Amino acid sequence: MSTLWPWAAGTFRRAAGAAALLALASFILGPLLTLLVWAFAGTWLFPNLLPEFSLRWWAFVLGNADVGKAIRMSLMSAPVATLVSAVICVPAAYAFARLEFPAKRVLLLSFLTANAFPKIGLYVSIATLLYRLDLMDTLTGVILIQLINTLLFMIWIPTGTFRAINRNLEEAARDAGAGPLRTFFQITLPIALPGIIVAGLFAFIAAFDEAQGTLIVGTPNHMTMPVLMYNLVLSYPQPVGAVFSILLSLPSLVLLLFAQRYLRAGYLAAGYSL
Amino acid sequence: MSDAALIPRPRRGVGLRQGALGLALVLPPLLVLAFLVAVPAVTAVIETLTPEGGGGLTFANYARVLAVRTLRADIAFTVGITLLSVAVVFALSYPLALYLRFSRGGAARVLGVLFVVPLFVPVVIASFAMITFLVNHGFVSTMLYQAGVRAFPRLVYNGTGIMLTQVWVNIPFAVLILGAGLQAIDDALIDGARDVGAGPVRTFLSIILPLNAVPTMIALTLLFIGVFGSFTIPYLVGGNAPAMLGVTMTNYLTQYLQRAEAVTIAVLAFVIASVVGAVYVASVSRRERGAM
Amino acid sequence: MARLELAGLSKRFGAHAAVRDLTLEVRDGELMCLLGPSGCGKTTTLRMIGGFENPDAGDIRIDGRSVVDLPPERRPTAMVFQRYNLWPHMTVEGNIAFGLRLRRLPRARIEAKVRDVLALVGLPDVARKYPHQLSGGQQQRVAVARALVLEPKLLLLDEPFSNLDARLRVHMREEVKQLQREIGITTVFVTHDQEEALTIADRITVMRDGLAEQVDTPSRLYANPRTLFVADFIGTMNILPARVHARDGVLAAGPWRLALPETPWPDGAEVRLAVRPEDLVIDPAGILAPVRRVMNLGHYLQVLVDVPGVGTVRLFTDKEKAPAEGREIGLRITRGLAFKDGEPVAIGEPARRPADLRR
Repeated sequence: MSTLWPWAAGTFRRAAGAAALLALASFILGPLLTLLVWAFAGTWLFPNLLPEFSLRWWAFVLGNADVGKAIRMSLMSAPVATLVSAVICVPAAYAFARLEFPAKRVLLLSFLTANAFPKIGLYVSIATLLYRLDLMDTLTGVILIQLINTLLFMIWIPTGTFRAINRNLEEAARDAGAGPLRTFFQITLPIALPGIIVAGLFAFIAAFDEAQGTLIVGTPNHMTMPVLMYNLVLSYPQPVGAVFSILLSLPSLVLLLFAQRYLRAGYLAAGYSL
Repeated sequence: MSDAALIPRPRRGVGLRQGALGLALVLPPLLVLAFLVAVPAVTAVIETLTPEGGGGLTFANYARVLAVRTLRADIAFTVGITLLSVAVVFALSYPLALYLRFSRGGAARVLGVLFVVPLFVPVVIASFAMITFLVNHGFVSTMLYQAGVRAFPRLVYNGTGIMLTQVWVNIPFAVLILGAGLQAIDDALIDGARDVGAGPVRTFLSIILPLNAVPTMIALTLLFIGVFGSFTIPYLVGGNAPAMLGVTMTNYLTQYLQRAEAVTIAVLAFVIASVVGAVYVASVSRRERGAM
Repeated sequence: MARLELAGLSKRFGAHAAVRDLTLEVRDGELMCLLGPSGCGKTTTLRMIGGFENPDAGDIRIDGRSVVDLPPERRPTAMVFQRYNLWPHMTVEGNIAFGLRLRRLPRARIEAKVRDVLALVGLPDVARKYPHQLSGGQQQRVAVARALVLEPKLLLLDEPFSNLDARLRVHMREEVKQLQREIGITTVFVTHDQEEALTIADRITVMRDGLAEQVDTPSRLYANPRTLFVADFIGTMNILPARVHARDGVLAAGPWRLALPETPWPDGAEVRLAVRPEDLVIDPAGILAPVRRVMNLGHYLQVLVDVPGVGTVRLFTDKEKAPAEGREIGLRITRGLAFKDGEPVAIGEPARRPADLRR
């Protein structure tokens, strides 16, 4: 295999490779580490390498009533949006992967339009619609906005996963006497589960991360964590934003640890190679 | 024909039933899509073309918006920053994807884990982290100071900051799409080219690049659309003027309370994005057709 | 105890006719092979029997009862697929018991049946393992066990050994044949490997372009192919161009002159003469031709001889009688089959007066 990578041969090239690796690592990890240090800083005066450590900003952030409310709002909306997305999209993904129906290709492609639109234009329009339906500044409205961002992940990755499952596995179950529904739930779904979990992880992050639309649709009473983050970043000292960032990344980190073995197994790449 | 003697068994019923079931299964997400994307989008377009008071067709909104000098500057800035970001992401991602595809060392394993990290960091946090990292008297400045440098480049609250953050956020996505495409190229094809005497560069240009053309097009267009329509990154990391269109639209809506202008800018942005989007759809359908 | 009948079965995929008007009977307890090159319609036929494809026309009857309208789960058939056919998220026990649980058998019965069938396929100790912990051969045995445990009337095997290495393949097919004899289950076996079909089948259906070319026992297929395609496809065959001399009752194939018993074809007709390597014998009195190549195939030799006007022919000989490459040897045809249209004509002894025909 390594012969395929002639660029990697030779001492000079190895050194250049190591330098590139180091540069990339600092570029990717540097900002995150800086943030981490800031979260435990009382004050950090330039040009000191390290700050004077303190936990007092944690007390400030956790004691803030808005923060508690935003956390509650985020934890109520994002999981629901992900779940709703999974319930409506996974069967659709199965249909895209396995069934023949008219306009299949066009319909699958139509989900990509959700990504081709400048979101803010959409959100302004959606706000008008939600206003008419009396859904502005409601949890339902926030969930609907988050749902838009999950669709693509929940259609694409599971469709790829279902396509990759050998049909013989399903046929063998039919042969053994299982009907179509039982075959789906006992054979297809368990085998596709890792791919669906990865899709769910991305959908959750996308829903949890949504701020732009929620800012328009959810204010003033339904602010999620990322929306609050805008305010914190813009109007408080750096450690506040840093502490809140850590709180904000906890859910995705927990899910990431949980889904880690599926990610390693290449389902991530499979989802992108649809 | 001997078939004529047989009782024909028309089995079109099965196909019909499958078609109906398929449509029924894809209907719920399609409804969401129609309700939350198609209808609002079409409404927005119609709104911008209707004169105040209703009736008829007018381009007055567009003429008014395009007459604003700062707005024209914002459009140029947005296109420029987007092209620059896409170019840098691409220039970093392709070698990384190649490296991950063709080497098996410990370094490749570390890189394989490292490059996906930004995928799991919410964009708001990524933007904030970049600010703390790049800001004057931030971490980079500190390192430069410790190294004896006293003049610090302005890395944030301007186009550079937006570009660097876009690169940080979009690398995993680009590497994954390009990598998945590279993964699908048979080793034998590459070995074959090397076998007949093609050097690494030649192999890349004549074999790998053309074979990976469709995923490359998809990556480029999705990157363009993603960066072009972004809001959070320019909002937090960018400067006041010129601003990227995502920020401009929001300002018109929430600060200046000029709804018609905001929607018109959104449609303009969509038109620009959809030109690029058409390339994307063409690439995807070419692949879908190829897969059949 | 089951008999399978296919009546006028047809299936098209778009413009391509995969199976055309196939009528076939598989007798009770018989092992029928569907044999043919890829794309001949054999797998489509098998999948129609199993219920995974719906025929455009025709009927499928098991024990006289039509099953063509039943979905796979309601047909008394069990299929063993080419590969990857064990459910990866279930243990071996889970795989085998899946169908039994659907039938709501009591737990103790299920356990006993799983144990018995695993013993039957010679894997008594793998029940708790997952498919990826087994070798390819073991996986395929479990797949067979999973099919057999449901006591189907009909066992369907779709190239089940094509993913195994050559040695294991030979071993497995003997094992399956043995098992099939033991339990006497009616079996349809799809393969593209004529050697596999010849060794395992009671009868073989040779298929080509969606049509059944010939249905016969292995030995009759070998000795009496009814079409040139079957002649060429089954075993090794020399196909020689030949011309009919109707008035003399002679068939001329290159320098050979062979007695033509009857003359169904007009004088001067071009035919193809199929001769098995073993029907070409070395005889100093025969036609002289130079030896091109001698190949050692273990316990016998394969000899290629360039016969003028015919091309290269292939024959087998003992190691003791090895001819030298480049030297001429005499060759006689003892038996052959002449093909043109309709039934082939068996060619026997050489013409009595070959000298008269040299013009």
